[in-house]
Amino acid sequence: MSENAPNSRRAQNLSEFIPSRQLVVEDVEFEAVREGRTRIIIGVLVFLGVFMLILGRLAEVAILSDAPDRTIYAQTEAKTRADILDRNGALLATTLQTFSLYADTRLVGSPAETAELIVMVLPDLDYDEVYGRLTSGKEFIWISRNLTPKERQAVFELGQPGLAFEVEPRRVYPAGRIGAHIMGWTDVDMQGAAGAERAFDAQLMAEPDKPKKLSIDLRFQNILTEELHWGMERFKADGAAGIILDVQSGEILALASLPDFDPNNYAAALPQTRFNRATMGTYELGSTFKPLTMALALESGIDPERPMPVQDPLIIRRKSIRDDHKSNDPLKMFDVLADSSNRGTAMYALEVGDIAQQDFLRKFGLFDRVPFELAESAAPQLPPEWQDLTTATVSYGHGIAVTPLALATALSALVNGGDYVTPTLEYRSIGQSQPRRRVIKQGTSDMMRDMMRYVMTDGTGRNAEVPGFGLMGKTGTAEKPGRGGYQERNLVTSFVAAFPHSDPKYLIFITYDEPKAAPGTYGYATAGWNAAPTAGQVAERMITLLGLSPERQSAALPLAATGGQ
Amino acid sequence: MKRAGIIILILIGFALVAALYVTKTKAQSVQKDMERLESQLEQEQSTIRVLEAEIAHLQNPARLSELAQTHLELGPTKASQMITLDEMVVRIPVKAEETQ
Repeated sequence: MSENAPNSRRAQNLSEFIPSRQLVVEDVEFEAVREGRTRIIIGVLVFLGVFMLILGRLAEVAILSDAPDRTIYAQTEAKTRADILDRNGALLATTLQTFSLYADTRLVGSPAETAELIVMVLPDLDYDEVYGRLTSGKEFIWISRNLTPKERQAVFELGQPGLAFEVEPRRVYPAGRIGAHIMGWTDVDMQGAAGAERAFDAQLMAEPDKPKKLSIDLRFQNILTEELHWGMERFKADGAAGIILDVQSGEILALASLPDFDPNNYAAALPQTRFNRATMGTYELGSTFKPLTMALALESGIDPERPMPVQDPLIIRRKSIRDDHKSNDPLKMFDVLADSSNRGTAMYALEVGDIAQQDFLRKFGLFDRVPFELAESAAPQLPPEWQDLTTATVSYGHGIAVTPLALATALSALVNGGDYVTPTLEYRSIGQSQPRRRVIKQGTSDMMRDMMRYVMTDGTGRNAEVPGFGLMGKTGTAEKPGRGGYQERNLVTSFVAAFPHSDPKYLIFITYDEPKAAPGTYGYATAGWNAAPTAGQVAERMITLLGLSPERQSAALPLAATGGQ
Repeated sequence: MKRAGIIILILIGFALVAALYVTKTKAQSVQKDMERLESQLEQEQSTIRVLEAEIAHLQNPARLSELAQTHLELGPTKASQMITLDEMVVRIPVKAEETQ
């Protein structure tokens, strides 16, 4: 500014003489300076503006904005439930992501072509149904739920517009029908609805990364299921149930009920196939109860050597107790059991009395539901009143209906040294013990083992014998109660087998509901002809699988050890 | 002096902002990496689960016994096929004689 001032003053002085010339010079100089200044100001403003913009954005991005939201992947939500393993670590249940196919029908180009292609890669679907859905005009409609990765890929490769997938977790049971009743199933929300899925639901949900080990041995489970299937088919039975117990630890190694269902598709299963006969079905199981009465008699001090007059008729309250295998001579205890004499067994029970009998059965857990993990555990059906006739019939397993598992557990206590061990589905490693209580003396248990061995060598259990291996056993054939008393033709047969004789570890319990006579059974449908051979086959396969060494000497053991007969 | 101090402070301010920006950008890219790896991990784990289920399905004893029966003509071992060492002694001399 200071330089401009004298210039303008000089210009004013000179303007009187040569105003036009002076003005031209003054104008050019001044314009140039003014223009330059304006440009600089604009430049600075633009620069500052842009700079502030960048600075502002920089501050906003770097300082003010929070971390971007974590992307949620469908995969992270799938793992919500722990796997279930068998005792050897084989997978019994797992959670997989499956892909559910849906369509946005507005984007589908040619419904007819698309439907045709879909049915081609997913043969389970019906063309008309798929076509109907694709032409429904809806924005979202399910085509097929729970596809495998392979099926999804196949649909992808069709390249049809308007088809898309949603990821859904799904419970998968690789063993299928094997062990279906133990596993149970989960509902659509992945909540356990039955079986182990329900029993251990809280644990499976709380620790999704920790697989749950069950007491089940998948190999035994398969053997049991296969042999029961064989029997169901051969004897045209309405149903069958089988249990394999570890009599020392109380672990349930296998538990099967037929007819069975596929837990992978439980919704399609008929209600009667979902019914667990082994733990929910209560049956009058008949003579498999007799070993309990024998143990009761021994515990009450009755001499097993004393002959019982089973040849004489036994009439209680005008009801005659019948024997299937009639004997003309008095029998000692070993033969009463081996010949399965109802009269002899009833005589023992009557001698001991109803109070002692009830106390004894209660100790063996037969008056309550089996206190194990599954909710599917039925309470027994007890006689409404306990008369002398009740004492007699209950002694051989009539008039009291219990679940096969309840009786199998009670019989375990007879052979394992005298402890009632609460059965469990949880894997027990060595050192983890199950609640147990002593119910009979060790000596009584030893004698029961010999007595049940004798049934196999000289009694009704011969058809279950595995040569060379000292099995113990007892048959049971009961007529089903129906309208107007017991029905002679509708039987429930059962067989209990335990081994090895020297140190019992495994107990097998087999039950058939209404088996029929088959070729080779000479018209019989009693336990010795169906349940016994089934149990024998299961035992044989278990023995060879386990590689147990033969106990040939034990065949002669009952005679030498006890002088039983 | 005062003016120089202000300029230095402003420069330090700019440097801090720049450093913060760089750090934050790095953290973000690391997080993106992590997310990518996590999703990859999830995918691998889900693949493992599928494969484990497939193993379990393939090893299912029911399936194996059926395959063994149809293709190998094998059946369950019989108890009579099991012998003890003592019994071996009885059998081996017979075999030895046969081979001679």
